[in-house]
Amino acid sequence: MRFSLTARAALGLAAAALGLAACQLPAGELPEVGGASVVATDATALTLALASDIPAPDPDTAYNGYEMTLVNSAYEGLVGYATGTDEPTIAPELATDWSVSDDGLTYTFHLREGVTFHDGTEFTSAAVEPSFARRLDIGAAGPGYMVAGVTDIATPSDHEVVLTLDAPNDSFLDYLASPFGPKMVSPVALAEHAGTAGLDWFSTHDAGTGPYEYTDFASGSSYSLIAYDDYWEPAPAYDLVTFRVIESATTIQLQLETGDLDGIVGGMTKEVLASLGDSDEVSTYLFPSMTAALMFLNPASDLFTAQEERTAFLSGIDRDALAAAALGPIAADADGPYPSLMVDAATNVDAVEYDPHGLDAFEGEHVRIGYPAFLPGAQDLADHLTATLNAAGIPTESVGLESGVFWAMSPEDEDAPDITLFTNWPDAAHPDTWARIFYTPAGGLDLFGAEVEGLEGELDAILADGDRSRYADIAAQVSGSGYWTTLANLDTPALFRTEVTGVEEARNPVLGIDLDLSQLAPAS
Amino acid sequence: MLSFTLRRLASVVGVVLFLALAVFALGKVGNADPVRTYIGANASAEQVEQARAELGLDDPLLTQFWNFLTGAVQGDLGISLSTKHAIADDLSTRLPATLELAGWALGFAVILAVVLAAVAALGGKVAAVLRFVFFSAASAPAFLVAMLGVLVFYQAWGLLPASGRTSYGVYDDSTGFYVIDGLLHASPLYAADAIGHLILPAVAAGLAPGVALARVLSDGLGASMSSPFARTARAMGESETTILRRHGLRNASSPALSMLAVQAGLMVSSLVVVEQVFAWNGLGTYLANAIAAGDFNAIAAVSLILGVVYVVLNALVEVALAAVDPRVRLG
Repeated sequence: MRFSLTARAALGLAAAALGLAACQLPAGELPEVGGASVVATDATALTLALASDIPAPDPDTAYNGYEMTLVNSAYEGLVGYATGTDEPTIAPELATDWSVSDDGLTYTFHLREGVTFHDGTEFTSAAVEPSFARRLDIGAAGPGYMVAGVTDIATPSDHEVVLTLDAPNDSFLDYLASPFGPKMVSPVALAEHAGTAGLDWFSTHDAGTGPYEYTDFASGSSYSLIAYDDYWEPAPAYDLVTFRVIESATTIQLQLETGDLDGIVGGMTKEVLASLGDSDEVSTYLFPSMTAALMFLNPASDLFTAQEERTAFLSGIDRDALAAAALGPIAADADGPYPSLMVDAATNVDAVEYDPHGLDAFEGEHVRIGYPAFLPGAQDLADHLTATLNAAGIPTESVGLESGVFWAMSPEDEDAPDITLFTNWPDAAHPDTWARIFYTPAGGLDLFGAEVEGLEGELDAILADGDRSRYADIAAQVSGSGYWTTLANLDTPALFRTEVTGVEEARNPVLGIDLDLSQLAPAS
Repeated sequence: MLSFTLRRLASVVGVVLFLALAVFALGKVGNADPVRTYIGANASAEQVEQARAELGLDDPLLTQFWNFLTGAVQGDLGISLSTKHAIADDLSTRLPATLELAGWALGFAVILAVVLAAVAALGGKVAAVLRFVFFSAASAPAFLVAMLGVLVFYQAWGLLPASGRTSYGVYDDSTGFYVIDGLLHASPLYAADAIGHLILPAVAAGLAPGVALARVLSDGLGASMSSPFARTARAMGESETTILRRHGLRNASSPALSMLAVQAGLMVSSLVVVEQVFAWNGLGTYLANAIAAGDFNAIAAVSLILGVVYVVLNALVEVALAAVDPRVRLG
C-alpha cells in the first residue's frame, strides 16, 4: 500500500510539475489562432466536438452532413429554412422577398443590400450566375441537380435576379432553401479559384457572406471559425468557434463534464446520452428532424416476390417497438413512408398495419439481413430485427456490409440479402426529395431497385402541377407495395453545457445536425 | 559483414515487393465497388463509368499493379476514396503525428524496460513487486491503460489533457513534430504543452512493449549477473551497480534489441486504438476511418507504409546485431 501511494504521489508530482512548468514557461512565438485581430476570451470562444472527421466543407461538394454546420455558417443562399421550428418554413436569407410566375417557370428575387462577401466584394445579382455555374460544374455528382433546371439567369438590377426554369418544379424553392442548396460565392474568389483546380482552396478557405469565416483548419484534427466583422446582421455572440475531432465517445463525455468541450450535435451513443441525462452541467436535447430509418425488402428474394408476401411480412413486425428497443430515446414512431415533419399525418398514409400473426406464414424460412456497417444505429436495428424474427421461428442471420460491398450489392446476386436497412435525411423538406430518392430506381437510394409502375411519372406530374395533396396517393402506393417501410423518425441528440443558450432555436428542421451557430450565446 | 548487409537489403526489397502485391491483391478480391464510395450514392451510371476510368479501374490488373507500384515508389499513393485528396497529402500531416507519438512511446518503453530490469536484477522485495507488475501490466490492453490514464490524470486530477496534440494551434511552417516546432519557434510553452499532450498516449502505447522488453532484459541480466565474469568482477571489488552498468546491461542487450524491433512493430497496431482515444490525428485514426469508409486506396497505402517501416526496422536491428555479434553473421 505504501508503495502504491508513493508511486501515485510521484506520478502526480511529476505531472503537476510539468503542468506548473508549462504555466510559467515563456510563451515565445505562438501560432495565431483565429487571426491576430481576434482575441477570444473563454466566454466568447465555443468549442464543439465532431464525433468523426468531415469531408471538405466546400459549398458545392459538401454532401455528407456534419460539415454542413461549417458550410452554412460561412455561406448563405438566397433563401433558407427558418431554424428552431418543427414546421419547415422557407425564410429570407440573401433575398429579402421573391415571387413565382403563374406558369411556375420564372422566379424573381429581390436581393438584400449592404451585404459583403468575406473577401470584401459587394454582394449583387452578378454573383448568382457564377455561383450556380460552379454548383453545376463541381457538384455534378452530388447536389448539382438542384440548379440543373435553371435555363436563364437575368439581372435587371444589382439587387434583382430572375431565374427561369426549363419546366415547372414545385420543389425548386426547397432546393434553394436546403442545407445542401446552392450558396452565393464571391465572384472574385470563383474567378481566382475556378474549376477543379480550385477545390483545394475551397476545402480550407471560404468566400461566402455568412456570420463566420473559415480560419485555421487542421484536417482530421480541428476546424476553427471566426466571426465576420462586417456581417449584415448583428455579430454572433461567439467570436471563435472551434470544432475538435474526437472519436472516442467516452473522451467526449469526460470533456463535456469538465467543460473543455461546450457541446456536440449527433454522433453520441445511447449510453452517453443516458449517462448525462441527469447532469446539472450538461443539457441533453433531442431535435426532431427529417432523418428516418427505413427497411428495404429484396424483390428478387424468393420470400418476397409477391406483394401479398411482402406486406404480410411487414405487418408482422411491430416497427415502433423494434425501433424503440434498438435506438432508444432518439426513435420516434413513424406515421408512414415520409418523415413525419415533411407532410401532415393525413398525407402520410401507411397501408400496412401491425398484425401479430403476420409472420406466421414465414415460420421456418431462412432470412438474411445485410446492413450498412458504416451507418450509426444500423447494427442495433439489424440485431433487434434478427432477434424478433428468430423469436418468431424464422431463422435469421444479419451481416454488416462495409461501404464498398454495400454499394456494390445487387438484388439478383446469389448472396444478396433478403432485407437491408438504411438511415438518411432528405436533401430538402419537399416530399419529392424523399419519394424520388428512395422509391424510384433512378433516385439513387432505392437500394434493391424496386419499382412501383408509373410512380416516377406521377412524381413528375406532381412536381409540375404542385398539387401536394397527391403525395397521399404516392404514400399509399409505396407502403402498399411492401418494398419499403419507414421504421422510425430519428431525433438528433445534442449535448451542450448549460452555459450555452439558444441551442433549441439554432436547429435546422430538415437536417438536425446542422446548427445555426450565430444563434448560440453564452448565458449572461 | 558487407555480404550480410547486402543479403538483408535484398531480402527487404523482396519482402516489400511481396507486401505490395499482397496489399494490391486484397483490394481486388471480393465484390466491393470503390467507385460508389468515391463519388457517392446518388451518382448516375454515366458518372460511375467516368469515375471508374478516372481512377484507372478499367485498366488490366497488371497495369493497375504496375501503376500502384511505380506510384508508391515515387510517393504517389493514389487518391483517397473518402477524403478525395491525394493520399500522400493526407499522410503528410498524419505520418509525423504518428512518428512523434511512436518515438515518444518507444523512448518511454526503453527507459521503462531498463529501469524495471535493473531494479529487478538488484533483487529484494522491490524486485518481487516488480515481477508482479511485469505480469499484470503486460496483460493490460492499450485502450484500458489509455482510459485509466484519462480518468485519473485528466478527469480526477486535471493534470494532463485528454485529447489532441496541442492547445495553441499549428504553426504555418510546422514540421509536423510539435515538440520540435515549439523549440524551433523558441516557445518553451508550446513545446511543454506538446509534451503534456504526448505523455498519456505515449504511456498507453509504450507500457506493454516496455514491460515485455523489461522481461527479456531482466532474464538476460539475471543470467549475466550470475555468470563467471560477474563473479570475477565482484572478486575484484566492483560494486553491483558498476557490474550491472558495465557488464550486465551490455551482455543482455542483444536479445532485448531483437525484442525491441518486434515490439515496435506490434506497438503500431495499438496506436490505432490509442490515437482514437486521444483524438490523435495520425495514421491510426486515418486507417480506422478508411476501414469504416471502405476506402481501400487509403487502407493499402497505410498498410504498405507500416509494413515497410516494420521490415526496415527489423533489417536494421539484424544488421546492428550482426555488427556487434559475429555469431549472427555466421548463423
